[in-house]
Amino acid sequence: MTTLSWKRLRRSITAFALGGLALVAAGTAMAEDYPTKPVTFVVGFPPGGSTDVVARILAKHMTDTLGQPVLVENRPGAGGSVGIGHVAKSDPDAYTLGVSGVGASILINALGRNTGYDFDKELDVIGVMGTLGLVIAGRTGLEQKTLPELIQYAKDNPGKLTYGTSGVGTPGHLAMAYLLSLAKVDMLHIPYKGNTPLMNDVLGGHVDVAVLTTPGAAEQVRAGGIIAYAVSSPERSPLMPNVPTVIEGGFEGFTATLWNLLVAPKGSPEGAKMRLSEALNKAMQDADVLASYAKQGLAPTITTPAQAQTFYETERAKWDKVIADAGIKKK
Amino acid sequence: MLENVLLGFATAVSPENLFYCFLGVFLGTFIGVLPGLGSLAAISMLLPISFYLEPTTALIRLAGIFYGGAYGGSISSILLNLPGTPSAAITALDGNPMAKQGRAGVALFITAIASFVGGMIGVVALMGFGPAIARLGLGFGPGGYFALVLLGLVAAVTVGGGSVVKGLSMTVLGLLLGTVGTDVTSGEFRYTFDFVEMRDGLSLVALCMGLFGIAEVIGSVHQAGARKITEKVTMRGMVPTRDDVRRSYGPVARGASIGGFLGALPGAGTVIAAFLAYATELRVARDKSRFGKGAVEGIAAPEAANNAAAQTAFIPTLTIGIPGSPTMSIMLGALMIHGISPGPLLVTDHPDVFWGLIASFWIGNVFLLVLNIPLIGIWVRVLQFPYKYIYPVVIALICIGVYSMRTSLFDVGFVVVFGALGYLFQRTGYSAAPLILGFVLGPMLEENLRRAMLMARGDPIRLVADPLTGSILSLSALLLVWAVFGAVRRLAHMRRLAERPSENPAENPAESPSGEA
Repeated sequence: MTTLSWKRLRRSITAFALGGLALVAAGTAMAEDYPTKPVTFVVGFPPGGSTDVVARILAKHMTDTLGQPVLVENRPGAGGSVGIGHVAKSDPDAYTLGVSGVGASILINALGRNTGYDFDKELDVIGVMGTLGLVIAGRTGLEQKTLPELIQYAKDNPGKLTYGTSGVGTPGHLAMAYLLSLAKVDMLHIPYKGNTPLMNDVLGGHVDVAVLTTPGAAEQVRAGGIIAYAVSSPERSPLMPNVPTVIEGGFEGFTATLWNLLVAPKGSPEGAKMRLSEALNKAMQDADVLASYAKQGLAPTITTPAQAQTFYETERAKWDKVIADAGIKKK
Repeated sequence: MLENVLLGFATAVSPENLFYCFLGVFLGTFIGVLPGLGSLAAISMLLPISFYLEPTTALIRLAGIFYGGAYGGSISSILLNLPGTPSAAITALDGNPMAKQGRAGVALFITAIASFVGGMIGVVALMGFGPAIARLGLGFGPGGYFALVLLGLVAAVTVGGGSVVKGLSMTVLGLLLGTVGTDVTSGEFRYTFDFVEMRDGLSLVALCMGLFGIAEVIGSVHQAGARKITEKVTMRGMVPTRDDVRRSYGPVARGASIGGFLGALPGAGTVIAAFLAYATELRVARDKSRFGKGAVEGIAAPEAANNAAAQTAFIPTLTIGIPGSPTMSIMLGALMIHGISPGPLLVTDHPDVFWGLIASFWIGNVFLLVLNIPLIGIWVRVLQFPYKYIYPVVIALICIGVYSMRTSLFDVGFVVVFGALGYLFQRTGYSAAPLILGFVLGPMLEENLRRAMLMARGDPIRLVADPLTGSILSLSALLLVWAVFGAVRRLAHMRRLAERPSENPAENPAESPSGEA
């Protein structure tokens, strides 16, 4: 009886001591020589999509800088919020990071939909992973060749034109609804399930106008399958230098860009986050990464975690205003 | 054209490309055989390696996995009644009864040949008429798609064989399950019960693996010690009879045409191709009662169809840059990683990638044939293992496969639910095949109809007035009228027989009307 309880006591003391040691070891390891094991980027979209490609380009370069494999894990669902929700609930050790887009960071929540996490309270922003403009394009049969012409035609024929987007509440939908509210014109919104069927219908002439992502649209414009009216980024896209911005089309201050933030669970060690921020910025200056970015129509961004946080807050304020001004109903 | 083909073969026969082509189709077959693990999962997992390969080589390997998977999926369908991939679920309907009759070798042999011929017809369509077919596909707007999907549903009501009422109710259940998720037109959530994981709908793989895979395992538990076949399979047992061969010509040709056409339409895919090819055979067959009991037509047609579709799926992907399926998106992702933007100019800008890939399809299909015929003997030997060794492995594989699709434990839970449901269906004599068809076609039907109605500003006349939509819709109407007429005529025929029962005692009035709908 006594031996048994002594054994038990001894066992628990050992366990306690070992556990404590492990905790201390883990604490120092994180602060000083992060990373000591593979780092995972969680992407909330399926493999092969634009977010996934961005994550993989950066992961490849950051693997070299960090000296540990950076893996990309796809947890698609609910516009990216399944994946980011997983990151928010992960251990705050900076080994599980999220690649969070406009939808998962701002829009889903701003439209009154539950994402299952509180972005501000549960996640830390480490950096911006580049920005990407949208393209407002039309089917080739349309006689209007510029954005002002298109807007004028829509003004003269209210509700006659249709515009397709990759879905309700996507940046493309909100941006276009905002533009139409600024121009005070009426077009019929046709939502699609992603870019693929939308591209099919604008190429086939079934929908008049479409809001598309840059690299895919640039190829179709080059082949003459669609007309590009304007890009929504603040500057012209290097992939389509002839296409003016929406600002040039007469809408002062109008920008809408897609971007991804590298995020970590709240409370992740500061040292690890700094290390990741440096590695991310280093990748964004690498010649190979820049070449890949240029071909994707992505603009590189170099940000400290604080600057990235400011970027996120500015974007959130802008999209909140867009949703309010465009009169899109909240849930 | 000829120099392009030569360029393609010159690219494809480099030792490195040959090696990766072989590796791709080998892996694809293997992964296709394992229940639950499909080519989509395999391609996602192997995508990162693309960084370290030439773009053409990377594509050749990924594509090999894709069409190899379409090939291998039928093997476990036939042998164990466990579809390796969703598109192979239909092959189990007649393939597994053949295996139970001791004709597994024949079934696998016919599958291999039908797949090869289907795949080759698909490649020829891709080479010869790729851009033309792609332009034809663009002609299909929301209205056209809606009409086409409706035609598919009308043609396939009797896909499970047996009772029309049971078939219809399972199709409707499938359509209902298809409504789960986010409504595309309004962005509202339907039947998601506040689960974020359900906003994109239920997982097709989880549904298939539960209804077919887990249900089959539960259903066979009571004979856990038994073996499927005890006797040895000889080389002679693999060779189809002259009658088998004669019966296969038509189904292979029809299956390959249906599959080739549907594969080229973005969004349609191999699952629908296989189901509709089967439904078509059921329609044209003189003796419908043979189906579901080991008819060779029932494996030749869907296999030719899904392999043809697997090849023509590359048409919109490569010639206009529109990926027709999630797997195709990954292929394009592999190109984008290398800085090649997919689009209509891919063929002219990167002829080596395009033609090299197509040439590799020829080589890969031959590899598959050469690889699979000798392997039949080995696969059939799987049947000699007792269930108690096979099934735990199967369940583990299904869980891994379903989890890896979206890295989601949630979906694994669904497999369990659907497994229980599938067992219930099996015990009550409801075939799960029409449910899958309804589940796949339902969202397409609804989405396209609502989009078409939006574009027609709510005016149904405008929808029907479109020449393409109108003509396909009238085809569906004709099919329905024909079916009703057939049923009425048969009913009259049965009445006459019933009046003179002594003349033909073998005719059983109770089961005759079941074939038509």
